Amino acid sequence: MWIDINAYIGHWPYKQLHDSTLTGLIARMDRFGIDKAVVAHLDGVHFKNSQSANEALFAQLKSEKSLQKRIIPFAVINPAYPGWEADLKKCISNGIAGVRLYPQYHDYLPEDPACVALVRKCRDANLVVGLTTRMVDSRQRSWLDLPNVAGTEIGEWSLRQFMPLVREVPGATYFFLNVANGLAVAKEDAALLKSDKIIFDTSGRSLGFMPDLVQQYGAGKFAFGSHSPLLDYVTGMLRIESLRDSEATRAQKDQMRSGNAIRLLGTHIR
Amino acid sequence: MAKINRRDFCTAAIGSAFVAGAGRLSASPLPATPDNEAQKAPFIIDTNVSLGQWPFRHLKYQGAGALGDKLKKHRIKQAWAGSFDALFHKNIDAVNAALTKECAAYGRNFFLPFGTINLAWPDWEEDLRRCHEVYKMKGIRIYPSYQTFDLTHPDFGKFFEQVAKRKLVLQIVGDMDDSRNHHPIVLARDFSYAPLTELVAKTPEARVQLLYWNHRVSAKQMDLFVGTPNIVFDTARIETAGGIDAMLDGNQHHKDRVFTFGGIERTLSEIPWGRNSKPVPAERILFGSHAPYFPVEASLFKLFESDLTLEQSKSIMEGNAAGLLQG
Amino acid sequence: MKNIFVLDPKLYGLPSREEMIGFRIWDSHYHGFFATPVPIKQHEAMLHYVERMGVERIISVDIGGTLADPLTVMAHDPAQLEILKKYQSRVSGIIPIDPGFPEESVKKMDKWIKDGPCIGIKYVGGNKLGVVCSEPQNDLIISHAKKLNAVIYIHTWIKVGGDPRRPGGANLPGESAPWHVVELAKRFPDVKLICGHAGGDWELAVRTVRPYENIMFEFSGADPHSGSVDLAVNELGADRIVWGGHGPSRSFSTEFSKVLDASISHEDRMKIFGRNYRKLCKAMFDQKGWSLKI
Repeated sequence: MWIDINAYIGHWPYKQLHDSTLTGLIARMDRFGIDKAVVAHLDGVHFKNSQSANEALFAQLKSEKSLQKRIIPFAVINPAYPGWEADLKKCISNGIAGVRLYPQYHDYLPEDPACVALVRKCRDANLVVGLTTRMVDSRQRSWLDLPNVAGTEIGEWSLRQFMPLVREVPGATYFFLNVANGLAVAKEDAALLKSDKIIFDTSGRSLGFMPDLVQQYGAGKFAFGSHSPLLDYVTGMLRIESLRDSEATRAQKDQMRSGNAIRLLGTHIR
Repeated sequence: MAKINRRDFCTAAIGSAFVAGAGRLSASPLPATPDNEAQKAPFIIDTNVSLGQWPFRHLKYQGAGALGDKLKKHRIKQAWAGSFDALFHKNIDAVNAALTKECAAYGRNFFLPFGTINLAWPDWEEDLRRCHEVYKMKGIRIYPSYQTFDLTHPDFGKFFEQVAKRKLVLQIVGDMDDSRNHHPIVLARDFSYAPLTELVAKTPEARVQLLYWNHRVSAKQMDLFVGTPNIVFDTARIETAGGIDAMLDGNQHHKDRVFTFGGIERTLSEIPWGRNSKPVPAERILFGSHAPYFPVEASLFKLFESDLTLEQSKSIMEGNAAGLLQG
Repeated sequence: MKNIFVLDPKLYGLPSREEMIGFRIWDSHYHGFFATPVPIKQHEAMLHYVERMGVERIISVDIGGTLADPLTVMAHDPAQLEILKKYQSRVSGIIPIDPGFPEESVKKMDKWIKDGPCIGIKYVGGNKLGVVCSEPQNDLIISHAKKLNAVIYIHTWIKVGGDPRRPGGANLPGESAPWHVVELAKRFPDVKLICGHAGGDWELAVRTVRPYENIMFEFSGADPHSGSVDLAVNELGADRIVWGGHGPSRSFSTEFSKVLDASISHEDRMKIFGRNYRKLCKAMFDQKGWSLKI
């Protein structure tokens, strides 16, 4: 069984995405043999009112009941937006399994009080918190996209920028998505990352050499994620499937294919 | 100055006590029956609509289906459509192809696709060729404030000539929105329309329309443009009360408008908030709504808020756009 | 009734002038006297468009002084006073105040509201001392407005800017944002406050003021965005929205279109175009002995 913990529908302002609807996503899942996907609506990253993107996702889900068993909805919540608490409540009533946060796009820091409050609410409501270190490779970014460019004074983010939040709410469940710029964190934060409630999806550039990572962190730390349709659909899969038997056992691969996702998403999976 | 009929002035519109039967304020023809009134009423060509995806909010009438159906309810028979994606995407040809497809899918030639060219990207001449020869477009719409080039770009003169040579309409968008409420991530760039005067003088066959131009055309610049006949303007952001009146009048006080307020007959002979000193001929103004970003009703109602003659209305609604397209 | 227009608006999917009159439109943000060396002349010119578009009443927001100098007596003040008295049935006024000078503002309120024809106050978009409406010195002004039953209009904007760029980062000193109105509203839960211009950024402003029932919402003075009134009605309810024209710097058409674009009932349009504002100033009209049908 395969579960993609990092998929999207919707639009990205700076390039054309094909088949970025739920129907398109399902077709892609079928093509590559993926059973379920954790999905958020991309429009929520740039909309001032992210809730309208969440509602578009819910509306699509409701119109296609057959999809509901395969799609695990996440909401895009902006804790810097007035009324986010009401939005979160609405999203919970619509059956979300988690939220995805975009501090860089929504202009706040992970340790800001509103963000900490949001993540505490997620922890208490048994929701996963998805943290994406980057949406695109900044070297290929649009001239209107974030000013964080790799190699410049304000470089891209890495895990380090999110650690103050994890420190504030260590008991929450986190998916670190499309991780780039290394897995290193400050020495005092290393223990926090070991929490079995934190996993990394396999789409990011920093997960390029999986044998070492599995050895270092254990297979329980990773789960298949595609970051599609912004990234291709297969890189995240190949990083698991290409592991030799000597590098990961079948059971470990199953953990990464879906086991870890099931463990952390729990009853949200139908 | 055109004096208007004083017999039918409206009375004061005081609440429900307003006397039904208020008359006309403008020099209109004789009353028409509903049927012949509908017959004489022009349809509208909307020269400024957009398809595609606006990145920063959900649009109520997004996409050809929703927008086309909405526009048709307002007697709009044709709409010149650009794509929001043109502002942000790098693969411009993909944007133009998708726009063409979406317009065609709606059918009946209701939407005319206006492709885009980005001079800052490589191979723009091929993009222009495809717009004209492959996608059979009638015009090109550019967005210098978003597309990282301005009218002083080294290739702009060449581009301008090629567009004119291909007999395409060139639309140049000044702004999409008030810069005060842009999404924080957007830092649209400044540019000036000023180089157009010289370019148009060198290329008299050029046909240029400015869209949402108002923040970038000073009163002085407008006076210069008035003397450059093949530059025309859309209505999307003509603000001020009676904004089209103000443009048509300039500071020349072309027309007295007699009305009553508070039971007293008055004459409006000068619009003190008019910007340009030279009158802009009605032939230079084309209906353009900037829908679905703006409500189409905003531009529509301006045609009634200003005291236009039937001929002026017809020109702005339909005639000028049809003429521009024919060249 | 025959249209005054050369073409029938109904053929274009617009309300006829009679229908506009039927909406009983009260322009709560009339700028006829604003930003001109010839305020009376400009106002007289504006009346043509007020009449043409079927607006029932205009509420001038520039009475006494100017927006830049709200507490300075201007040469045209007597002429404004005369207009307000002579055309009471069509023209009302609210006065700009300056929260940097609360005592002086209260004096002005007594002169123009308690002892004069005006019906309310306006917080301007910026002031000399940089005092936004949430700061404590406003309490004197709001308490006095409450005593007088005065309408309270607060200019608000959320201007993007600053470094890094963020909503509100380019607001002027003393220019309130909706979150400042919220602070004030919490201190005066029984006083209605109008959050003007939809905060400039309606998507952020609607949600900022939503939980505070004593905050009303007004849309004029920003570009018309399709869908804006829909969101406001869905989140706040039609009872909390009032309409403003902002002419002559804005076109009546622009401001009408925001409401006409919304997928709302005729009844809700009636509320927004005028009924809500009439309710807001009913007590003031009663105490002045003016008749008012809601």
